Amino acid sequence: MSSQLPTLGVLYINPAGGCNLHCRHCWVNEGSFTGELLSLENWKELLSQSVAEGCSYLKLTGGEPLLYHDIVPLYRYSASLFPRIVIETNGTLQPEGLWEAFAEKKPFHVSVSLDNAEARLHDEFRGQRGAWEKTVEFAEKLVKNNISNQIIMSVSTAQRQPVVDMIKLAQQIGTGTLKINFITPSGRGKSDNFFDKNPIEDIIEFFTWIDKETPRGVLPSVPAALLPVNRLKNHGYCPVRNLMGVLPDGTFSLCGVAFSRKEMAWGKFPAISVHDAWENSPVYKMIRSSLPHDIEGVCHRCIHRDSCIGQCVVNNMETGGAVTSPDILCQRAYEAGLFPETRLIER
Amino acid sequence: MEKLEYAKGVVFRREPAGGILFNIDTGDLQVTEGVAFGICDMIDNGKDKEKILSELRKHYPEEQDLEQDLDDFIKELKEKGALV
Ligand code: SF4
Ligand code: SF4
Repeated sequence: MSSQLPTLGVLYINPAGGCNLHCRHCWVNEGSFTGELLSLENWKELLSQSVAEGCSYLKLTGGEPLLYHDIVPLYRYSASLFPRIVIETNGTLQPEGLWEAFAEKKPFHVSVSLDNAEARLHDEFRGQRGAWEKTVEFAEKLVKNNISNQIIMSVSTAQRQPVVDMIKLAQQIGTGTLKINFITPSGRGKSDNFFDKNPIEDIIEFFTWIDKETPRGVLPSVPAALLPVNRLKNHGYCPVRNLMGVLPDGTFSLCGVAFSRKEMAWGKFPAISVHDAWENSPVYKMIRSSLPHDIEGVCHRCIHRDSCIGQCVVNNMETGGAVTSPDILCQRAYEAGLFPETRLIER
Repeated sequence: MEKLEYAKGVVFRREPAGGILFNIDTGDLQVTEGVAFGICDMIDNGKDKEKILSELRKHYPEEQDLEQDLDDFIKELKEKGALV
């Protein structure tokens, strides 16, 4: 392995070909997936090769990962290899044997998507009647089984009441944390997203309200520079420089974005090994060579640049056209004179 | 009198909830809150170790191990390259 090659620390896999819901904001299945699903045996081999590369963190995501026909054996095998397995699910499916497999070895963390405390609104947003009840039941089971858990709420408005109601619901369920994702102008979110719908002044006010008036377990997906100092210690950064994504047919992708942007894919397992993809993919090479140094706009001047790298390169590609485009929120805050001076330096 | 000085390239930023020590050359960023924030602020204002210690003693008269805690913190900042 060349000394320049960063460790492959994180693997995001999307084993299922799609999703059982039709969420308004999703970018994953914007273009429908037509390839052949990787077999369980292929996934096992891919996971083993990833661990051999040093990978210790696996995220099962999607689409809906629990829709994959062999998800339970896939989870069991993954659990025998990876110290940390994170699952992102819409929580509407409970495949046979899932909870038994979780009991044998708990996942490191499970996030379920739940957008509104009102069932009707959640179901409308997720495109399926009855989704809310199923997801709440799943979230309750996570708590009952003592599995580290989180609810992810996706919002397109800066309204406070839905957040207040969701905090109450999360407390009733006993959920660990409530993460608030702001719907990005990508995929189906292009027409109805947080960023285009709300003036930057309202957005900053909304963040301030979340920070000051909601419990610490409420975690808004806000770029580091827009968070107060006391929230920075627990702030998670995007691991994309050490991350490989794999689509349902084995295509190697920049996280999961090649679902909708084919140019962000390179090679396919098993024809290409994990090592080969990690070392030679022009997509990962481009990320390594351009981030963080070539990042533009306010991100270039930001003191968080080296760890934050613009918050989400996928989002930045969608909004600014390039992986080096700045984060839309920070850039708008900067242009409106609302970006904190204390987070800027001259480079 | 032990003079305390941030290393070249290190800047200290004050905010309402705490401070940030940032090394422009390495990109290292350290968040400081509470007493650590106060100490960094005093270093930034050119106070030496003895002066900082006496300020701390004024604020925390009950604390027995202040000097040791301050020494440990200074050592930590030096190890991280924030202090010369
Ligand atoms: S300006 Fe860019 S690098 Fe800085 S916090 Fe915002 S998104 Fe991250
Ligand atoms: S680039 Fe964006 S979507 Fe991909 S891992 Fe980072 S934060 Fe997630």
